[in-house]
Amino acid sequence: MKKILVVEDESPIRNLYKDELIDEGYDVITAPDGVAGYEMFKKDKPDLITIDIKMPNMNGLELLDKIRKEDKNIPIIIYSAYGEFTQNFSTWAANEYLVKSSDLTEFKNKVRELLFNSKS
Amino acid sequence: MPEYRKDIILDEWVIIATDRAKRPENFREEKVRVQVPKTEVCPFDKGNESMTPPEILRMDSSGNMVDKSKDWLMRVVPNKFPALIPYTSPTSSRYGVYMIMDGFGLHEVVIHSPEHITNISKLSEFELGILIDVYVRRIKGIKNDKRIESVVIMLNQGREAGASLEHSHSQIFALPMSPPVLEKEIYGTKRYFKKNLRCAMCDLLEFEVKEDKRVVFKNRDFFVIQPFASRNPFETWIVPKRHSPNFENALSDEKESFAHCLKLVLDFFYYELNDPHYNYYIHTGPLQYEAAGHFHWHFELIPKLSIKAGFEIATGIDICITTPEYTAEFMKASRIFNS
Repeated sequence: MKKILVVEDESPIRNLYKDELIDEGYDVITAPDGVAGYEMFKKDKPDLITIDIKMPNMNGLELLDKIRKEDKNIPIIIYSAYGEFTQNFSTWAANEYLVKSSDLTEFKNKVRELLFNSKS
Repeated sequence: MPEYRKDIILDEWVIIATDRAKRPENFREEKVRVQVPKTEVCPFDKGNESMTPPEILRMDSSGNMVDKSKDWLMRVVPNKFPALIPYTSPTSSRYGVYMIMDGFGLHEVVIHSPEHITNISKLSEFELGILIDVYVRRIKGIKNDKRIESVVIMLNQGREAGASLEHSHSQIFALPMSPPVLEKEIYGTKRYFKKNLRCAMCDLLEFEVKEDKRVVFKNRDFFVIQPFASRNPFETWIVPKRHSPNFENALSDEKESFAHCLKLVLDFFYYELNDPHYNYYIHTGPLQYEAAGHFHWHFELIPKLSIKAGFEIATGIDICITTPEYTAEFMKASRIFNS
């Protein structure tokens, strides 16, 4: 079973993502901020990571940078409630950038697509 | 006494605050600038090409267009997460009293070097020539899409100018309409043309040469000037002598001359003004119609040396806290322009 790490500071959203991804058949672990997310990346070796940009302690872009320094291949989806990050090229270290939406269809499609591509 | 001055290109007023004019050398005082966050892994560095979308153009260090198997000096890639998309239609429709249009357009990034250079002034004159050639090639390529009406080329140098990643890069935006600033310039120069049957920029250059107060430098094909109605201290224009509405029609010799002027200007800001953050952009005429024959393409560099406060925002009238005559004199006397 593929393991997904969800790094998100808002617990209702974190739980929503977790439940939806479990329903899709994934093993899901979660972290409430960038520091915890980095520790879980090291310890739990997930197959894919989803990261919120605006978080306390270590923000999503800092976490993305830290992970990429160690692993250039792990699929990462970075997302935010704010579209302005399309102008921020440091998001390019991620495989996908999504604007948060209550409709998780695109999010789940991207997870499936990235896991499929990383397998091949 | 402060003075209102009118920009004949934009058809806008500015205020030159001569009374409280700051001496040009005061702008190079040490200042703590907000820096672009440093990243451990830069998607623009050599070796990280897989982090960018498939490239549109690759140039080698000799200035030749090469394929992916060759080493590169500059790359052009589409924005990985674009705000504007090419696969929709630019048709507009009414929404009540408003007008809406799908977010059609192109947004490309020009990566200036495989090395992690953080300032465009690190490029040599020859490399700047390659960069200019890249801009020209891309505009010519984009022009084939008849839905695109205008292209704006711009650079954000430094965090205060809006850069999000420190690796030197510029951006190309292609839009299905002329953006408001360009529209104003086209309208302003058209109005001037109708009245005088002459190009506003050609007349402006003729006057500036005669007066010799704001021309900083000239070579065979270009003038570097501090505009009469400067909106900001050290606002700098590079303007071709030959009347031409479109930058992409620059001749080979002109591209070389432009690179020479650009190198001097960038070096001046880096070495003589202690590296302020700035934006530069090229204003070139509309791509798909000839109605803007009165327009004269040009390059503008706007340093972040003053802040727009309430008055400027509320009135649209900028206050420039030094005179372009002062700054032109200072630039001419610098070792960059005086050697």
